[in-house]
Amino acid sequence: MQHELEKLILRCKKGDSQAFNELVKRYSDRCYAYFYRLTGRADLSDELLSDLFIRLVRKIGSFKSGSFDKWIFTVASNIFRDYLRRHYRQKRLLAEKADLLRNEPDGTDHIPEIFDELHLALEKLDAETAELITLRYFSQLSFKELAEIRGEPIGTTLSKVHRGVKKLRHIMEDL
Amino acid sequence: MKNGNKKLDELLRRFMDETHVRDLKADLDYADHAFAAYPVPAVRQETLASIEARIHRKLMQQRFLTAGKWIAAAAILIAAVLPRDHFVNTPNRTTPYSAASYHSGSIWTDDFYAMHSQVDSIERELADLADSVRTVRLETYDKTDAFSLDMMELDEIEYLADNASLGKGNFYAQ
Repeated sequence: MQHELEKLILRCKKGDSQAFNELVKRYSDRCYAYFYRLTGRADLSDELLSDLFIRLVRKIGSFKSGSFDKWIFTVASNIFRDYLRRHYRQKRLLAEKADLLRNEPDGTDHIPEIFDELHLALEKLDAETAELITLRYFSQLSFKELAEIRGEPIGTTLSKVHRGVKKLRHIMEDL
Repeated sequence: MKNGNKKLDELLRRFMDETHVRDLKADLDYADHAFAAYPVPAVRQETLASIEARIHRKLMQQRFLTAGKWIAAAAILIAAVLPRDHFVNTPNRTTPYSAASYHSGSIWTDDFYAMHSQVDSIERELADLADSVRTVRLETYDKTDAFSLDMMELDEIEYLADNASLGKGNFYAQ
């Protein structure tokens, strides 16, 4: 399985379009679920997923060895954080023009398409914690790998996850 | 999976006591069940097709750029490797003398007499060459000048003759 993946990545590095299609098929479901669970919107998740694979085409040469899952979810996590930064910047700009927009619908505030309890609970967590918990579930990476992705000590990641899942549980039980 | 759980237990025990480990594991299980209980829809086929098309375009773009870089690199290499004379040489340009035949080392030796005789021989050759050049130049000069002088003289004589006749009266009118 691992050997097969290595061969696939090697073909991707050579610019094989078919190999990239196979990579898309292999990882699209998990990555899409990660984006969808965090944004709650299909169109946005499509966009982020597309950005992820295009970035992969550009950066596949920089993948040397190790866990490809960790590498791809690092890229996915960066893409989501970039999106959050853009989103918050837009919100801040809009807040500055609040008087003008008070009676107008806010075009940037996304309306989630999923209203399940999990989404509501994740929305109540801060964005970073929600992202970390979602990343842990969909990437199926170890705490050590999660800490490496985030560039922080493993103890910090463990502590954040601990607080996050506890809070998530309380919120969901209260719903 | 059991191996993974064992590793997780070991890891958690490094950071917290037994009660906290149990607590965290229960919360993690709860979160995992919640994620499993609320699945998200699968990616749409149109989205996948659109991504594949975008990847294909991107790869084509990259190939084009790579080819361009190779061509540019090859051009730079050719320009650097080929001698500059190759570009500035013209068909009328004469081949320069070989400096080797006049290299000082071929004359200058420690043997004074041998050196002297060589210098003498070169001097003689140079003198002969100078004579030849002078002769050729004089011959060319004399021929050309003789012809041009003759023509000038004839013109001058005719002019003087005309003027002389005018000064003495209308010769032609007579």
